[in-house]
Amino acid sequence: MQNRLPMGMTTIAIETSDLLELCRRGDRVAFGQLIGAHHAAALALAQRLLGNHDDAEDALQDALLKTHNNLASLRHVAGFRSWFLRIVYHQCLDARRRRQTRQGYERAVPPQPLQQPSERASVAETLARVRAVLEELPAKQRAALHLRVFEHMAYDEVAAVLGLTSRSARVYVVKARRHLRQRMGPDLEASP
Amino acid sequence: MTHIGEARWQQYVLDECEAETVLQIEAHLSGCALCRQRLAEERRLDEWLLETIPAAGAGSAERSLERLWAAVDAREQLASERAPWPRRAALWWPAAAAACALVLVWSLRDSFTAAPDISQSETTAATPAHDQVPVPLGVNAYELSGGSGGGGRRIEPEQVSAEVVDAARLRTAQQRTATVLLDGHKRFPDHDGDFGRACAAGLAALRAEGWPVGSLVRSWALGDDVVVAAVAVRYAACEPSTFNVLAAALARDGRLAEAALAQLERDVTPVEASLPLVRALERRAARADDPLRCATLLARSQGPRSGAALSRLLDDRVDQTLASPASAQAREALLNLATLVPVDEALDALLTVSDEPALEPVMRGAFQARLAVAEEAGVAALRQAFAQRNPPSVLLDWIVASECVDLVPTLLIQLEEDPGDQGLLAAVVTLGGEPAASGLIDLWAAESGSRRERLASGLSDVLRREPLTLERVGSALAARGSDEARELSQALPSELAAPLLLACLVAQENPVDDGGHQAALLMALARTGPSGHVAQLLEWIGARPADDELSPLAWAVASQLDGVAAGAAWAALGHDPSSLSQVADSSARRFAAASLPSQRLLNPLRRALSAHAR
Repeated sequence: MQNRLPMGMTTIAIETSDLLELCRRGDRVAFGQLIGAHHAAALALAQRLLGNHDDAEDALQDALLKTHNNLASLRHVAGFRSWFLRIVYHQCLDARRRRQTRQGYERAVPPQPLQQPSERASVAETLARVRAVLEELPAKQRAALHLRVFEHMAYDEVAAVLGLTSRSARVYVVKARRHLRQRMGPDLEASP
Repeated sequence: MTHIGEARWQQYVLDECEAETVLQIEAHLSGCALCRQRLAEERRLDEWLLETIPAAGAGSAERSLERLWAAVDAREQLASERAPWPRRAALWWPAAAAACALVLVWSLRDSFTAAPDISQSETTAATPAHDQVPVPLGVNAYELSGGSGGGGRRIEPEQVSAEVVDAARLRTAQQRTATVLLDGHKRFPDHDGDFGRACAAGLAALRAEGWPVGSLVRSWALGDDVVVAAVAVRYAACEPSTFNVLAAALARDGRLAEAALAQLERDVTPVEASLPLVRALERRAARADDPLRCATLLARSQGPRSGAALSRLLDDRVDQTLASPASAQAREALLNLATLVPVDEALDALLTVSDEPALEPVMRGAFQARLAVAEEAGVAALRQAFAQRNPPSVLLDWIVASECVDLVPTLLIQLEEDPGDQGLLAAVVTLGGEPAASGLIDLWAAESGSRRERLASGLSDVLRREPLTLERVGSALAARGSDEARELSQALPSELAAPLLLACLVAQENPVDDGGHQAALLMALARTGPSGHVAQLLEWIGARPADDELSPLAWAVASQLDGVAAGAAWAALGHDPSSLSQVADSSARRFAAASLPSQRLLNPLRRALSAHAR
């Protein structure tokens, strides 16, 4: 695996292992390069789990700090992405927990039936429905779906991020999709 | 048309299929509008999901890194400003020693502090002196006499001066010996001063009955005194703050948790009313040591919180069981939990694990156990679930026993995917009905060889058991054309073939039909040999015009089926016996072309007419 490091008008290829070694020695440019390759994926995962951009950025910030502090403990260079995303995932879970505590006890209410699309819901309304349905999913299912569908990760890698077996990761993805289809069914049928 | 199975569909949607399978599916998609629409919906769903995440703005990574480096720099600066280790250690040791000395002084002071005298009511006078005789934590020792958490027996603790209360509160706050205190204090401000009084009274006094439960909750932190805790547990009825006592007790091991469980099992406390309590039960149920008891309590307390907790537990169990399908403990835990959750959730979970061969017996057992509890709801859940996806084979027995006839179309689709499945075929045949017969005919038409024979045999069983469906099945068969009807009649026993063909013939009243199909059906009918189904044919002949060109052939076939009845009908209609030769001539050609014996074509009819004339 190679990463491209811009340097003036040229680019040089640096092996990830070299990049990691540079990071461990405190090279900030190298760390920036290493994180830069996965920053968007990490932010998207955090947004998916936390539901808003600000919380996601805060969680990602904490995750970055942890990553920086614990870089020495990473043994297998090839697994950097899984390792980094796992830190982000757990940081998001912590953030959710803190948010729940902050907001008082979580109100555990059964999912409310979504309103039927009147004639043709606007895009914004539809996306709001999708977000609401996503919120109903357990964090693990939501993360599994996200990593598989949007990051195109193999199940082994999804499992490594979420601390599951590969088969369980697949089950989570399928269950999440089934739930979404079930809940969004009327909207899907109503759409052209 | 065979639609794509759920498992393959999911694989295709998630781009997990091999190239060959992709080609097969895409070939199917090109010819199936329904599946194309479904695929479009799946893709639309993906698009929506993608749009729910706004793209990271430009420079987002740089901003994150800037914040990171700022935090790292601040930390490094702080570290550099701190004294080096030897100097810090030199300061720490005296500080630690002083802290230990203070703690020791507080402890000794507790021992010498006299608890304020609590005024004893008539009830509490009979209570043994708990501060001298340790009370065992067994359930019986704390059995509620009134069953209402001590209502009506409450003693008012003695009023103490504000100075004492403040001092005690300060002292307890400074001690910070347990998290329960901190949490409880944050959640429940001590507006009524009970907490202060409890602190001032000391542990010994708290062992007496009558203290407000909220005070006991907070004072529990005074030293994790088991007797005080047990009293608190005992008084934890329905007061919101006391749920925390039970929740905290459940978080511990041993006799305290046992006391809390026993309290909950007495059916006094509505678990659903307290999220901390639900969470505590859920955490305990998730452990391997005592899962069933806590899960049972959650199941008994019906409500959204408990339901969600059970649902999460079930998900975890499924996950664990899939991770280690050979583990007897995991299987048993899944089995137990599946008997507690609502039947539709049990079904969903069990279908999830049904792909794992090692879990098949567990799945069967768990589902049957759940059905034993909620059969009616189970039937409804099964019908709803299987109307959308294929039932696993292990549940076929149950489907048949429950006579889920409306699942026949689903079973037929599955049979279409796997025509060699004997269990499925047997289930379809046993459930029977017109949909089963019509579906089997469709499958029979698409198959060949031994599978075709088996399908014909199954169809025979259905038709033999339910002769009333013959007419409707014949109508359906008529739509497929005379060739298939003829072929099918050859595969069926004559006692079924003849009525089926007759039903088919009657249904073939198509105005655009030139008579070719009806003639072919008549010929097929002639092949079935003598049978007792001539009446319907004679009725059909009688309803047609006298000069109908099919009439001679129809009379000839009727003669083959039952000469006596046909002769009687011929005479009754007033036909001239001499015209029989014309009938014979026009029919003989068709019979010969169909390799049917035509020499004695109308002999039965002639004999019958002679007999009738005599």
